[in-house]
Amino acid sequence: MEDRIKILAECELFKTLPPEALEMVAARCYEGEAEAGEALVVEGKPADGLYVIVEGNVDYIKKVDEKRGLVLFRWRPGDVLGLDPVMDGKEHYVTAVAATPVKFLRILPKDLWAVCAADPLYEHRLFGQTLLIQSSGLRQTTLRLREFLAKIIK
Amino acid sequence: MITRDELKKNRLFREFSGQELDMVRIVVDEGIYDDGRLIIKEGGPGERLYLIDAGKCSVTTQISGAGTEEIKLLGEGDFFGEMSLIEAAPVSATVYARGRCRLLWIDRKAFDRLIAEDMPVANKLLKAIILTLCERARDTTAKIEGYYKMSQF
Repeated sequence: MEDRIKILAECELFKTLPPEALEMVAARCYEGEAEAGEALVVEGKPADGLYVIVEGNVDYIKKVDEKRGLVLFRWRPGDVLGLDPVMDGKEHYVTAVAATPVKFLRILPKDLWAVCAADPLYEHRLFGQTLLIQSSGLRQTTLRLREFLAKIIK
Repeated sequence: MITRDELKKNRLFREFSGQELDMVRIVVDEGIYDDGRLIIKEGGPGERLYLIDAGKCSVTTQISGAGTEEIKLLGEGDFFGEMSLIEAAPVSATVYARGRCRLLWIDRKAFDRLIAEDMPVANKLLKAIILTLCERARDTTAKIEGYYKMSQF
């Protein structure tokens, strides 16, 4: 339990939560592992939780046809994946594949929302950090978009 | 002063009660932008959250060696400029008025105050921005797929 709290306290999404809220999240986490090449989330599948990367790297892949995918960027320990589908309740729009053996913590959507419902302050802090993560992700995605636009135009 | 109905048209405030809208109304300013007028410039400081009350705005980006490309056209009820306020980072795209448009805006100080003053109101506002950023991330990622395919020809 203490290990989980330590991991969550260093994770961008949860680091501003007070200790009692971190305990709530930690108590609701599942620990998991994935082999290199194994998909943690799959494009088109429903939101199944947040994944906090504890060890290893995970590639963020956009499918471009039946066989190929484009690696948009790589998640590292402390990063969170699956955030947007948990927030908007829609399906995953990318596939996340373990690039190395990976250890992660998984939090189900209903458990995250239970923490938010427990105190408006917890919700406030989680929403604030969510926006920072989304904003930074969107900047990176837009950069990739520009690269492809530049290729087409040239 | 801006009316409740004018604010309620924007996706950010659709879930707000009359009383909550009144908290926002007092900090909102407005202006008319003629066709082609620059509203915010990529790389510049982001000082305002803009709400489109009427008309359209073109979101553009600079492509090295190729000039300016439109990446999104925003219309009535949309908003922009929020990323710079959230991250305290430079503006990520240039936005022009496409045709004559009426914009409402909340400046950085007022935005920060709104977020700090009343937590339930702040959480509603943050959630509305989160949902829009989810939509933008989905949209941008889908465009990458399309552009990648085009870049292969």
